[in-house]
Amino acid sequence: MGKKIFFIYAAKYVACYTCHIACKDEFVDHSWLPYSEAQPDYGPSFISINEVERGQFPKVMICYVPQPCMQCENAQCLKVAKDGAVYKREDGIIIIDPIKSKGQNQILRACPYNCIIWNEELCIPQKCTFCVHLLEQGNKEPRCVEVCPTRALM
Amino acid sequence: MPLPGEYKSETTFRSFYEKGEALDTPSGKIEFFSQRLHNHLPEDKERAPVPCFAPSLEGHMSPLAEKYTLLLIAPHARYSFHTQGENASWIRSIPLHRVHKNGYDYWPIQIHPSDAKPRRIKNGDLVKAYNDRAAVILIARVTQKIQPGAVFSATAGSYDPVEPGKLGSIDRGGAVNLLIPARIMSKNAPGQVTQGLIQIEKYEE
Repeated sequence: MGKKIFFIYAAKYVACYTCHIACKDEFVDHSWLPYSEAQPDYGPSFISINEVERGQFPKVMICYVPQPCMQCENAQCLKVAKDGAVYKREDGIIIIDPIKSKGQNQILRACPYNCIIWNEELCIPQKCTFCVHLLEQGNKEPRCVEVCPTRALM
Repeated sequence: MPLPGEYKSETTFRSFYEKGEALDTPSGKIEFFSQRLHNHLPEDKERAPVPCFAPSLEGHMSPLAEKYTLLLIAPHARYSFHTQGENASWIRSIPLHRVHKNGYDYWPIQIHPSDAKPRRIKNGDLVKAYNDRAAVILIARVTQKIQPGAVFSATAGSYDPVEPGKLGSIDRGGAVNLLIPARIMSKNAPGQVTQGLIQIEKYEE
């Protein structure tokens, strides 16, 4: 099994937030155990989007940089997690175990990209799972990649 | 509905271009000067037979601009269809759509730094946008995307008055349509006016 990565074509990325809605649709009220619990209805999804503004009026350049989990080679969240709450699969995808990670908010703070969100209701850190539950059902892509209208996410 | 049996879809003006068939205008050609508008509505200065500049009744050149110095531009919203679905929790989570502050999701207004600085407005401050019609509480987004003298806020915010039932209550839902004149483009042509003069000040809760 090859390593799974996101490829983001930033020039095509227009911040239409379709990936955000798709992520909400996939995870809100759906717990995909053992990989992920349900995502909160309100608040950030597993893909956050940073707006970068450069220049001065009338010459302004706006870039939108999507930031899903980077699935780091040398992951900080993996190092700080206790009792194996964060683990790396053979295909490179890092998973936060929703049961073992309960209450471990040091995992949230460890992420240098602020990609992990805190689920207040269940008291667990959550992040992008690369939709592993879909990949195991035979899908080739996570939901956000499937729905991207400009094919900026690949 | 089933289409007529013989129907074949065709690009607009194709028969005019290829066969020279007359168009549905008095001259049968493409008209730069509209004879119909000239004959039927000669008094309409805002929709003249030849498109031309018409001064805005509420713009930077009108007398009201001395009192209300900023021109509010209010087009359609990017992340909702008017107010439809605007307040749904997934859409409300989009930080470019609504900005969360002190337990409420406020509607953003874009303002240039040169307009924000004399008013002591910083990025993420609550502001009151007002004119003679109404007052709306919005959240400031100080940005270079908008030109000085103009402010930008989309029209999709739902009405949520601070004191419900009271006449003239301030709105905090972001319904900037309250600030915009009710008139249409010309009395003979539809097209809602989407700009109005306003003033902005910092709002303290």
